[in-house]
Amino acid sequence: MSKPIKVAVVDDEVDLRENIAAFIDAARGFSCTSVYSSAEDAIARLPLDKPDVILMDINLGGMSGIECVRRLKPQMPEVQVVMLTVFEDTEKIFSALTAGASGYLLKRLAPAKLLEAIREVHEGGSPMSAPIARKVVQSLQVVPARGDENMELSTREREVLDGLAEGQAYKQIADKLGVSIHTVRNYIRRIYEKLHVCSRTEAVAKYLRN
Amino acid sequence: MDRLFEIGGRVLIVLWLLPVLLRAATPHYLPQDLTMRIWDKRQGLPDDSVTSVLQTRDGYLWVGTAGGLARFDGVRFAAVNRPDDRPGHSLWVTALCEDDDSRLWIGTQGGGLWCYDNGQLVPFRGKSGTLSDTINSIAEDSAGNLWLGTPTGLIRLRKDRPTTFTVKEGLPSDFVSNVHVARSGTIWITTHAGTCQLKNDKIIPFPFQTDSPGRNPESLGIYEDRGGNLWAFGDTYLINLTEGKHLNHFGGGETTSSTRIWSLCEGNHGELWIGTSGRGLYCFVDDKFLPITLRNGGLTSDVRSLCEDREGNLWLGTYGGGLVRLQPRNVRLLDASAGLPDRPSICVALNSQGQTWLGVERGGLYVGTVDRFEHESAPETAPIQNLISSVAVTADSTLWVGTPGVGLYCVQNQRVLHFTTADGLSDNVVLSVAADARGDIWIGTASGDLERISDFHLKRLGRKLGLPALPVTSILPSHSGGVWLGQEGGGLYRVENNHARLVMNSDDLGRRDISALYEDAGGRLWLGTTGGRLALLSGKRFMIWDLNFGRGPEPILGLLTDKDGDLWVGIGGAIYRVGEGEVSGMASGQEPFSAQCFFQSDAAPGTVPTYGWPRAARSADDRLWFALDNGVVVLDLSGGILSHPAPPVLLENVLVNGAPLPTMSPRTVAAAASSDHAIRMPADLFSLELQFTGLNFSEAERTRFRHKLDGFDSDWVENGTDRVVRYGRLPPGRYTFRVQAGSANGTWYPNDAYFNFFIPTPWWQSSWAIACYCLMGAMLVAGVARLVSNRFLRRRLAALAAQQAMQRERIRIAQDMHDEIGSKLTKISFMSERAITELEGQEAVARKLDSIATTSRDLLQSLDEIVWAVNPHNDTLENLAAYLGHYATEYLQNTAVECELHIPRGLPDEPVSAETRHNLFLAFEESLNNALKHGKASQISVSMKVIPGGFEIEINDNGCGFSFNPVAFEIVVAAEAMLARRGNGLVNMHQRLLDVGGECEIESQPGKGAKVRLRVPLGHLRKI
Repeated sequence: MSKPIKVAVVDDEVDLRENIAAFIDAARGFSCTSVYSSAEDAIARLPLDKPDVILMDINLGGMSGIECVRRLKPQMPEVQVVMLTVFEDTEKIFSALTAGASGYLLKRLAPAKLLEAIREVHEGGSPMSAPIARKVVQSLQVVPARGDENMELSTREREVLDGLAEGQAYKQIADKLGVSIHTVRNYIRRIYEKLHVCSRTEAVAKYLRN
Repeated sequence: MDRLFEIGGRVLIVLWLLPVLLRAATPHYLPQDLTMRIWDKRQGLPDDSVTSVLQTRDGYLWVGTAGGLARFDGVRFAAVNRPDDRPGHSLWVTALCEDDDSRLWIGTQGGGLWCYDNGQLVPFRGKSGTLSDTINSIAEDSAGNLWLGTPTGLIRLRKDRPTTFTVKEGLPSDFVSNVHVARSGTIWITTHAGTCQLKNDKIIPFPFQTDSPGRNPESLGIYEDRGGNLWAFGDTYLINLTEGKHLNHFGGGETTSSTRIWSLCEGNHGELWIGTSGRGLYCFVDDKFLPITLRNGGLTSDVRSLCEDREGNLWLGTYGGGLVRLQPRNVRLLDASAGLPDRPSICVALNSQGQTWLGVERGGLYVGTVDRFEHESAPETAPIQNLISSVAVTADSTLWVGTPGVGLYCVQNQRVLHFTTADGLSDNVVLSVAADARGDIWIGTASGDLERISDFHLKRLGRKLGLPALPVTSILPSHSGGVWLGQEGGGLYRVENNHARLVMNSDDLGRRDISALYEDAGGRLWLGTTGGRLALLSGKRFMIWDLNFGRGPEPILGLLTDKDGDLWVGIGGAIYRVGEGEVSGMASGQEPFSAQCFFQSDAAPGTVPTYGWPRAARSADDRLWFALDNGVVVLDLSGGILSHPAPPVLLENVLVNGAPLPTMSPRTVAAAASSDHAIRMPADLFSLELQFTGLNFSEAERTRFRHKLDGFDSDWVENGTDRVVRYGRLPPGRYTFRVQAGSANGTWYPNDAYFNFFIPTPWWQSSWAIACYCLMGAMLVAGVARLVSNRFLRRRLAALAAQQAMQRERIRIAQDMHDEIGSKLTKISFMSERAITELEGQEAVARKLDSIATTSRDLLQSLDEIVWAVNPHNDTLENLAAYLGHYATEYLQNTAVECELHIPRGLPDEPVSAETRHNLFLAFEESLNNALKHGKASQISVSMKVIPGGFEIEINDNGCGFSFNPVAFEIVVAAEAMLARRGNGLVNMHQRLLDVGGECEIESQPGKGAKVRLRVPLGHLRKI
């Protein structure tokens, strides 16, 4: 445990925000560097804070957490953004993921699990549930490959994604492919990255069209 | 014979000039054979006394009679009556004259002057006083003045204003019998007291000595011929005033006192026709008077007027004898009038003196000239008075006659020689005989041998020549020596220098007999077969044509060429002419060629004899003889070929709905028929009758018509000889009626009459009316459609609005739950957790706080499920499946149970209602719960799939299972349903699915796990 994971929290609910911040600060190996009550504040100041992980509420008062991620990510590509949400709203979660988030956490998780998830994300893992995987599959079908290899999924990545979409657990997928769960996680992260690239390209294309 | 006399019930008589006179005179012009035909009251002529005949420029023949005026088109007489016509009140026409404006002036006896213009016959009344009641003569001068000869003087009509010249102005007598306008412009006036001329308004007497023996001289008229000779005529004299020649041919004899020259008419060839009372018709040619006498029947001796039409027919107006046509023809079928029986003719031979021998089927031999034939009935020729097959005559008039069974006969100077097999003839059936230029006779027999008789010495050649033993049907001596020889079944040989050469084989000739052979002046051989095949042999080359004139293949009976190089083909009952140009085209390989029908027999062909040779011959005076199945046909080409001009086709009358159009006079019809001006027809036209005519006076009855109504008929419609076309109701539009005339032999003349008219669209059918109907209809339809669709749309909108309101409500509930309850519960859980950390040692309180945190988190999860179920965004199968899969993963995450999920990718985009989702979710949850809690399973597999009409989730577990009786289960379910309450566990699960139209299937046995299938319907198919 060399360096604590620097965490920033963005949530408009003051109690929740302070509670989470307190939890994180109290936990060993974590430090909460900053809390923001709005996306606008966060965009202005987060690049100076340089946290490792940002916990971002989806429903913020003004600008939404998804938009916030979309703007922050290009400025600080190395930061991991974890979306915080009360409910498993697939649509919103997926939007956040395409905007650049690395994962999502339900607020109802027990604090211990919350910390565990933050650590996992920081270590490069990106959790992907079946509904999200299915969304990803759909999205990649809707946006066909444009000859850019960076955006095309490799065979293995596609196999992982298909497995997830069919509801298989990481372990099942790892067994089937004969790889470790860690490798599966790597594949998932790469899928996310490609999803980001894909959505960014799409955004640029949209911008150019307009 | 009866056939010829009774065509159409009209009298038809053939006559011609006395041949002796003709031969002696040898004039420049020889009137050809003239056919006479008479029309009288029975055919519609107003009166049998025809006083004047005139062909007007439009082509009609106008006939003035003592009983009225008629217009003749060759077929019908259209009586032209005075407007106040009553019986016994008709006009006695004396003179006819067409003026420059195409008005017809009619002089009458006792009825004054009349004018026929624009279909109306109107009496002429001078601008100052009445004219004479009787008009003797009418003439028009080049200035357009009309000159009238009357018993009371000469009248000049200048622009309808009369000026009278009488004795006072210098006329020899007031009684003017004739006025003639010479080309020089001089008006020649013939009066009872002598002749005078009117030059530059001055009357100059022109006395000359008449030659009227035994009677008072009568001056009747002056006539100028095309040569400029002025002929004065009266009683019996004819004086050439120009040359001063007095002729009095009619002066002698007993009938002199009643003889009177009435009219002169110059024919096409410069001959002068003279119509007389008492002596009939004369032709004056080369200073000779040739009487037109009759062989059969009688031509009336009282000819009052003469007119030659444009086709060369001479029309005679006779007194009491009707209207007579004399028609020159150069083709004639010889019949009883020439002394021939009505039988098929089979062979013909000519000598250089104009004598002709004709072989008649079962009728022996007839000899004579073109006018008269006698049966060869000398006692010594008895054997050849019935059945013969072939005839040939040598230059010294020795006659050779072949018979089909009794050998060959030779007739020379009343001597008859007989050759039979006893004399060395190969067969007594002789089929062909021919005489060559040296006087040698060639004989072909049925046994297939060829014999030659030189100086009455017979020599058999065939076997030596190597000819096949086939009957020899035709022999033609060649101009270049040797003979052409045809055998039965085809095969043409050339026999020369004791050598026979096959020129054309049987296949070349279609395996039919050669029936005609002719060598033309150029040495080319023409050949015809009984199968209608024509061949031309030129050098070593030959060409063939199969002739078909619409009646299928007919035997070619004769082939000849005339001095002009035209080819004449006797085929069936017809003779066709192929022009010289076509012939040279044929010789150079042209195909096809055109042939013109020159003669077509009216009668159906009789039985065709299979023998007879030769069938055609050309005489020294260029007459062509053809022995056809209907008799002998002679073509006299000495006067050239008569060709008739195309007959003018005229529209005569248009009847609209049974009556003539009031706005349409003949002149407007004529105008419509010659311009683009269209006649307006009534909109309610239901019958249109168009009457037309073709002015052909040579073969009027055989003139055919065809018509076409542009805009209605797609092609020409043949009328036959009908001169009327009727149409029924015609759709509105613009039409052009066209009619064409055609000759009997099938040629259509290019000049057609046309008539433009249009039928207006009735107002209720006009385009604006139709547009109105369309508009009204469209408005009606639109109105109804609008009403219906409005109602429908309103209902749809209401339903959609309700649905949207519901959705909004659901979204709001989900949102509220999320925002309010969710965040508050989250806060509770976090606060509780936080409180625990701050408690430090108070275990009991900490447990309670932990319980609060756990409970609130559980509550959040439940709330999550509710929100998911409520949120309309999740109303799809894809979302449902994903959520269920996710739920199973989450649910079993922290247990020891191994979960296997199979969610098919690419689920259909089917909507799933919130109710279905909710119930399916709860049933799914229940079944997972059962497997976990009751079944104690260690492995659960969930697989989802789309089944026909629905969606199925199968949950398998390896738990302890249970005893399940489907029947009992059904009863329990039914009982619970009756009691309207929710049971627990499986029953509940089943109930939930039944509520949404689905079903639940359970299979389980104790110790063997359980299998649950949950099915819900999808889409419109509510039944699984």
